[in-house]
Amino acid sequence: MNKHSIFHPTRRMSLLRNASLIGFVMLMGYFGIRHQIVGGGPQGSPPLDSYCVFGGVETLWSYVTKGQFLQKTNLSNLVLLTAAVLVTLLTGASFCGWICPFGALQEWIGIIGKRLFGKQFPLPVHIDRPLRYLRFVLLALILYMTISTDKLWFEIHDPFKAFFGFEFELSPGLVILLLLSILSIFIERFFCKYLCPLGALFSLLSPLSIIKLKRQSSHCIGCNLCNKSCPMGIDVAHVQNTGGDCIRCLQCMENCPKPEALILESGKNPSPPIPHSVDYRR
Amino acid sequence: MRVGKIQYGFTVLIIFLSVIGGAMSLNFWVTKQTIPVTVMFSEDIRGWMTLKQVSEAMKIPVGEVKERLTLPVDTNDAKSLKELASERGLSTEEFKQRLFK
Ligand code: SF4
Ligand code: SF4
Repeated sequence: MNKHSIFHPTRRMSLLRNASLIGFVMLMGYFGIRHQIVGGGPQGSPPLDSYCVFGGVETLWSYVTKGQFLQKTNLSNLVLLTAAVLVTLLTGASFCGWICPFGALQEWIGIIGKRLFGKQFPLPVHIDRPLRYLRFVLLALILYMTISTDKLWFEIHDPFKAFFGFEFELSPGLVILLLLSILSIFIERFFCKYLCPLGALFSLLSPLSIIKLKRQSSHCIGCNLCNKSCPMGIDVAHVQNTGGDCIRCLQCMENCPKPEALILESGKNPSPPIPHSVDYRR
Repeated sequence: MRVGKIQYGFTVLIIFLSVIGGAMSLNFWVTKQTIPVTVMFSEDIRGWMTLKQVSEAMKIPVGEVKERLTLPVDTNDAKSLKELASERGLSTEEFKQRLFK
């Protein structure tokens, strides 16, 4: 069997990860379509917003201060947020690499881009670095606007909802979705890297995680294959552990020729600063 | 302690799904929307609400709801605002506004 085939025994992890992503994409699609067909309300089917982890972040303030959920959110959002935060504190930002349906879509679009052009087009370091802070700015802006307007302010801009909501009406969210889809062809996981507010939150929590992805320099031969396979543009080949930006997709581990060079280990070493740059892949 | 790649993947999925499963079994998994108790603005009225639910939420008779929405008196009370708006080629937002004029 071709070593690059996802069914090759050495790629069992990728098979499991993709199966997980497909499962969550299908589930979210089902919720979106069902809501469109049946309608909402007590007699209908819950809106997509009730199944959104970020909805938990948005509604938390209102719930804590007033005991009320923002419109379209519910207790399910807080349950999902709790689950995602627990996963992050134990395993790092693996929600992004293993569960997030929107991350999965971007990843698959990126694969199409790679097939079309034979490569990706990462941004130069001097643009990539400052741009990575944009998602923190967005997170702060969304929280501020949500609290001050007391509603899901981000809803109409949300590309996740524009896709899985299956309404496809002209809206800012749909325009953003189309733009992101185009960008994802050229730059892997563009939204995750530069814009996702939920990813921003997880990247802050991830360095506290119990299980870390570490590089053992004594085993590393400096081939840079890990850097070439990293969708988040992390300089895996030169760090001690992969830090907050790592979405734990484990592509680096799978492509590393030395089984002991990259390991998943529980331990309390402090994470080094968030590693940057996509240029290392070249 | 070392963790294998597959073991890691299963750990991620098991924790995530267990929290949701646990919440479901403890009845914390609530997704359904409820009829708003107080209605002050048009945002409080949702597209999924039937005429009957609008009347309950706004605490006015169904007849008055129909009158404000300029609907015939024999309109089915179980129809939602979204359905009624689209039958008239209106957006739900536009249609809801009539309730507050
Ligand atoms: S960064 Fe955001 S969009 Fe990307 S995988 Fe994580 S949560 Fe999903
Ligand atoms: S460092 Fe490895 S696990 Fe982390 S995002 Fe990059 S390829 Fe995935």
